[in-house]
Amino acid sequence: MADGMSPEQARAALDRAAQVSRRVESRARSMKAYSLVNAAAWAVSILAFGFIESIPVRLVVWLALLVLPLVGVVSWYRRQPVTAVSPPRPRGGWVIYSWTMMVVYAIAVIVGQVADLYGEPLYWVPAAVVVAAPLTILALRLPRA
Amino acid sequence: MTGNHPRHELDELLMHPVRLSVVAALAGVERAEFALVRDTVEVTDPMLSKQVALLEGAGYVGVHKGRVGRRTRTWLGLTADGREAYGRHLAALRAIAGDAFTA
Repeated sequence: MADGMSPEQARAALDRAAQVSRRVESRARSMKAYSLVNAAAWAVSILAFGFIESIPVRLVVWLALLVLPLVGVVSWYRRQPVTAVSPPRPRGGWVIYSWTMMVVYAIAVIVGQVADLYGEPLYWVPAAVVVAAPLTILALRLPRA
Repeated sequence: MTGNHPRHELDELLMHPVRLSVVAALAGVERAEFALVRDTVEVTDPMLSKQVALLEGAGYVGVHKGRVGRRTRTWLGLTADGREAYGRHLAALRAIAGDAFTA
């Protein structure tokens, strides 16, 4: 079969393959939206932690800000018919960026609590920016939403 | 028979147009839903199932089933072997396409 393949047939096969590839790739959704929603949710949740004085209200808002966006974006992502190729290097990018964010988050919360910085924007606003940074960087490295 | 002509590098399994299209459809993505591949390649469910089974048997395509809500979905994705085979096949096609000499 291959013995009879002419340059024209090879070109036609290449064209068909490229066309199909492009069509499916254009439908692919990466983890860009997933990463950005989570980055924003974690950043806002640390602000809630730092600015809401009432402990029960703070816990409810804090949990809602972490859980609801995550459930929403996971559900959206799972419904996508095509998913883009995994995050860029470092390999396992999503896991590494997520763990970095969680470690930064934990440090920010502990420092804020130990140093009694509740309601202090000069601490919590930069902390929120730093917490959001890892997943925002991941999102910016991904090719498309 | 072996030789230096690029046709010897063509992958027999990917000589079938539907199988080549399925692999091409999956080449640029992590995974794609069965129905989307079927519609893109423009084949019937049984035809796609048959070709995917052959590609899966060769270790080129992985098939994963999962539930989204109440619906079961089938996802297809290229394996590392599948990506490598597709790359080699494309390289051979390019070499033939650019080759003035026909066997």
